[in-house]
Amino acid sequence: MGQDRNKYCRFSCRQAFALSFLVSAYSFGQDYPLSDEGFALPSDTKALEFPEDHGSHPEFKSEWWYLTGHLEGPKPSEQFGFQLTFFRSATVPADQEPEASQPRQIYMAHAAALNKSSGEHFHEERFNRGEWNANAEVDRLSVFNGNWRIAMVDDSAEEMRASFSINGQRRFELSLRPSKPKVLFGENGISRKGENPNAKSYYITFSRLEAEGKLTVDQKVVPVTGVAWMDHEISSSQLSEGQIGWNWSSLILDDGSELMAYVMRRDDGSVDAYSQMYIIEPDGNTLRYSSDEFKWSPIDFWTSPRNGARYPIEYSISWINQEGQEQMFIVRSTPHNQEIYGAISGFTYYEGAGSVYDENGLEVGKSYTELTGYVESLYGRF
Amino acid sequence: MILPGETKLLIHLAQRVVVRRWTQQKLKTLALLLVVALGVSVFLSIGLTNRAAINSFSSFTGVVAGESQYYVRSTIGSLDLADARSVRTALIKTEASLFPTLEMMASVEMAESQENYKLIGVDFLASASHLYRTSQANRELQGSRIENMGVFDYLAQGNSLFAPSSVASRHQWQAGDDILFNLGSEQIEFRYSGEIPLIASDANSELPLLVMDLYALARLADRVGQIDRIDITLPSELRTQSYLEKVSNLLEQANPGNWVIESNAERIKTGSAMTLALRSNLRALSALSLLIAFLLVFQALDSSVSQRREEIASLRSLGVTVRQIRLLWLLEAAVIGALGGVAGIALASLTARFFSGMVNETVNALYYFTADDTLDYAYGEIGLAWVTAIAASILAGWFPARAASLTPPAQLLKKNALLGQARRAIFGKIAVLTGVLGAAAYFLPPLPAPNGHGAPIGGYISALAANACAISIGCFAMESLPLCLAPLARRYKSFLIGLSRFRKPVARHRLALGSVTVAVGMTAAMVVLIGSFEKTVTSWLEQVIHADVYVRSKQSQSAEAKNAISKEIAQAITSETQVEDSATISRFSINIYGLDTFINGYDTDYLIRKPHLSWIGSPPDNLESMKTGESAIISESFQERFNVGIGDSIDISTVLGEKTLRIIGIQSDFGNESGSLGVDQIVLEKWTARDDAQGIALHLKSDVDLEAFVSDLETRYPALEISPNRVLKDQATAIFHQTFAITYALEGVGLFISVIGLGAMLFSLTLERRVEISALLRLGMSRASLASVGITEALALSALGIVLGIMLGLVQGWILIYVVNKQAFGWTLSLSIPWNSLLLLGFATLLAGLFVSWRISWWSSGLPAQQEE
Repeated sequence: MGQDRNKYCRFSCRQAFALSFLVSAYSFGQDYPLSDEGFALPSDTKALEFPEDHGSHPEFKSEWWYLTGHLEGPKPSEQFGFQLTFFRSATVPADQEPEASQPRQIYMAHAAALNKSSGEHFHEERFNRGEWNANAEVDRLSVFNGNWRIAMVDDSAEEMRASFSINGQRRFELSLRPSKPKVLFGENGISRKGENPNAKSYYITFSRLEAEGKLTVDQKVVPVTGVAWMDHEISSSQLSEGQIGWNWSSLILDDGSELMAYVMRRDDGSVDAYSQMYIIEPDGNTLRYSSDEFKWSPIDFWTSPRNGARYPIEYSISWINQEGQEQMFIVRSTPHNQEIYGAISGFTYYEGAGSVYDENGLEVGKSYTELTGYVESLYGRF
Repeated sequence: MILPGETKLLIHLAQRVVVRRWTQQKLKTLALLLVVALGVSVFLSIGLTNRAAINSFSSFTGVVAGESQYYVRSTIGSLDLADARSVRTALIKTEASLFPTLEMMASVEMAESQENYKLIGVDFLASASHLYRTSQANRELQGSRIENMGVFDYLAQGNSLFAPSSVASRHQWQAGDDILFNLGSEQIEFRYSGEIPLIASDANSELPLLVMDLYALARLADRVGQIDRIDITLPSELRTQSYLEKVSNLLEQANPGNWVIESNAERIKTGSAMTLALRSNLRALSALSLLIAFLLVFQALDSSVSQRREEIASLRSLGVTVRQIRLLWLLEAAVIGALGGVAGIALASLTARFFSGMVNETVNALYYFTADDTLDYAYGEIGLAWVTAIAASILAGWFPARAASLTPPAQLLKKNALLGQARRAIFGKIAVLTGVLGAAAYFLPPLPAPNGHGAPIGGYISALAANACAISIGCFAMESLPLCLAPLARRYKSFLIGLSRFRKPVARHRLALGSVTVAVGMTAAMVVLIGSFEKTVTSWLEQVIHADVYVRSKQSQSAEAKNAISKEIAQAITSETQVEDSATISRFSINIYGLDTFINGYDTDYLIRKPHLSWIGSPPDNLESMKTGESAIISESFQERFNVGIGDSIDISTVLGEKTLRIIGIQSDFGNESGSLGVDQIVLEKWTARDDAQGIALHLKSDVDLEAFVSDLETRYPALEISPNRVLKDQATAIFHQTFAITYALEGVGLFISVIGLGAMLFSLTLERRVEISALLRLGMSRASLASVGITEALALSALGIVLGIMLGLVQGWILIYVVNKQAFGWTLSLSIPWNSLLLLGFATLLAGLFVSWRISWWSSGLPAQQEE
């Protein structure tokens, strides 16, 4: 009985959350084409402009600012991974009133901290309304949710500050400076995600940020430095029918290049044709690979004791490079248990820090791997 | 101090002297312990009740937010969500969780009454995040509940409401039930959605509290965007002094000028200050009961010394030292205090609930919403009561112990009391000294009190001195009783014998007289105070309640109710065709110079058109100037608290910045001692961004059927209380009497103890005179005549005590009205002496004395000469 109720409530919670992404409405957006629901859609005719487009786009149904990184302190044992993600989700288009006491904009945020030496992994989820405890400025990057915050402090250098804490105990205060120009993935920054023509997003990335700051744990302050990756995606529909989730990899390599791959997974186990891989060369030049030009192959799995989801925590990415040679990286997330489970949203996924190895087993970089749709299909939610 | 090796001797002596006497005089010992227990229980009950009243002020929030470290509220009216955003921004670098809160009162209709609940709106999304965050370390305890919250379902419903399980089970609410509540001026259906998810594990889950989403409540109560308060909580490990200071500094830096920022301790002080005067007076009254009880301990120990003179003398001959004798009596006093204290603590578990109920009603009516379930048996209060009992008992035993120790060895002493030989002239001198002291103290200025009023220390000293003076006069006059009263009935031997006992009165006579005088004096003073109060308030109500019909929300009987009548409904009611004239009044709390008070918004034209306020001094002739927002009227309590008068200015912080108001008039207002500032309603609307009304006064056309009009409004506006003039006056008078209910109860206890004291005196004297009684019987005196000797003695003493008590009551009543009440509450009352009530008090006390003395005298007249009990 208790379990049934549990199941029901969790379902209701998720359904309601999904509802917040799906509620039909008519958008007031003048510069963007509209989805059937009335939300704005990315448009080739609307070029991204910065610093404004680092800010929020409330006329789109959803948007996120996704920061992951690897930090180290003065001692060899002080190796950390972190994730800080701000989600914004409009419940109705701007010209409609939300039902009852539903907020117009819901701000969800996830933060995670990993102590790579001890294997300890902490994470926290937050939900807030837009009015007072969370917000994203529309004309510049300045987003907060409770006391988690990311903001651009120098628009020309695109330097940012981020601060967050997990459960009020592990506080990160970081300065993030791009060591490479930002990358706009897809065509003019529009990344297609599925067969549905609306399944696309503006996709802006800082693939290599120099991170510097401090981590405070139990009143002890550890100065840290490292590298980070930040995505900003804006969309009103990410997944198409038949797609259940994605595998996403961000590799920051020691040779100065980065690799980003997303594999859109279909419900029949196949890889969707709209999967993509990008290599950002040390000079900032971007190489794009379509789904049939690279392989994302699981090697080892970890099964979540919470929900039985079987995540590929070790995998290889291989492709034929421009010289016609096959190239491969092996990515291994350690420790294995880096599952994020949203106590309020019910949204469960894997966001794991790891290392990148070449064919010879030599460590050549650091990685973050996001694995979604392993507990349940995300179609309809993103 | 007990020396090494003395313990055994003292235990042996205690067994021989103290325990033996106790076992021989079981009833007397039991009565003495009972009296001490009663005094202690009253003292402790008031202590616990006062504490509960303070706790009640902040306990409601704790259920939702846990213990908050800081609170931000507006200097006037409400805050809005922009303020919450500013607080969030100010504290972005801290680990503070914020809880913007709306607080309303909601009532549910019962069969014959309505039940009030505090309805708190908190942001469900932010709270869920906080719950998740704080429970991360304690997931086993709360994790499952979080995941079951279904927050979005509740938000989608828009009227989901949560209640403590105790409330739900009492009303038999099941999740999903729709329940009709009165909220402000409307009846609204809420959906009961389950038990409140508790954040603080130690929070009281039995409170009359309802919780819902902030936005949902704001929408239903027509207060969109407004909040009453922001609670700020920090993780327990960060509640260090330096971190708290950091948070406080950040808040102060961000303060736009209209925030009141309070730490938890300051907030408790705020609540405590609101009820300070009430609590101090109750404490003083309960201490008087304790004082009377310990006069009886004095009396009992004195009697014991008197009875044991020979025994003490023998002990002294056997080598028991002066110090050891003194220790023995002090030990007995301490044991009486300790045992009586324990019994009193046990008794308090019954009496505290009784007193708590009455104090809660008063606090609820005058200050803020309280709950019956906030009573907690704090070890501190219990310890204080017990230690006070022992200390007071030792103090009461000090002189008897000294007298015992001064008994010479091997000397057969005439049975006499400790103070028996005290020279009469001494009492005369004491009476003069205390009289002068009392008169001087009367003029002492008050000490500053945290609530802005004064602590009437001079009044209390003066009243205490008056007690001592009255007792001394009694002791002085007692020896003249035979001379004065004997001519009344020279033919009656029993009467003369009874009176003859005052030729050489013993200490117990004086102590019994003292307890009767103090008890009657205390009661008479309260009779005078209440009589004066009633006359003043009744006349005030007659003047200010002048309209035909008054309209307010059904929850407004609680002083804290922020519920108001929406402008639309107020306009609809005032536009009824039967209404000839009308006015609305708005009321908000306001913080001025760090003190909480009220600001009233008056319809200035109506004040001019229908003069009804009761002015102190001449009415202002420039009320019209209030419309400019530059002048104001104040109440007398406000004048006292803020030390301002006509022509002075006062600065207030509003959302529109600082405003300076010149005071143009002072009115009487007995609503509460916080006082009030009155400004023009339209001006106040701008300062608060609130256009709702707290009440409406309606004057009907002459041909309107009042009953039919009221009945019609009641039907159309079921959430509103529609009161015809007479009903409202009756309700106000009922609240007035209710606020004095606890005073009546405390007086009752004091009188009861004093009558027991009278009986105890008679009892011990009778036992001492058993040889004399036996001789009189053998000389042929009838049992009835013998009994009338005792009755005469008791009645003469009672009569003297009553006369002195009533005189003392008049003096104390005067002090209460013109010093204590004025300084502690800021109210000027017109003195009114209810002679009938005073005569009734005297007569009732005399009757009680007659009954007790008759029972004891009749019993003692049959007592064999050799039997002690």
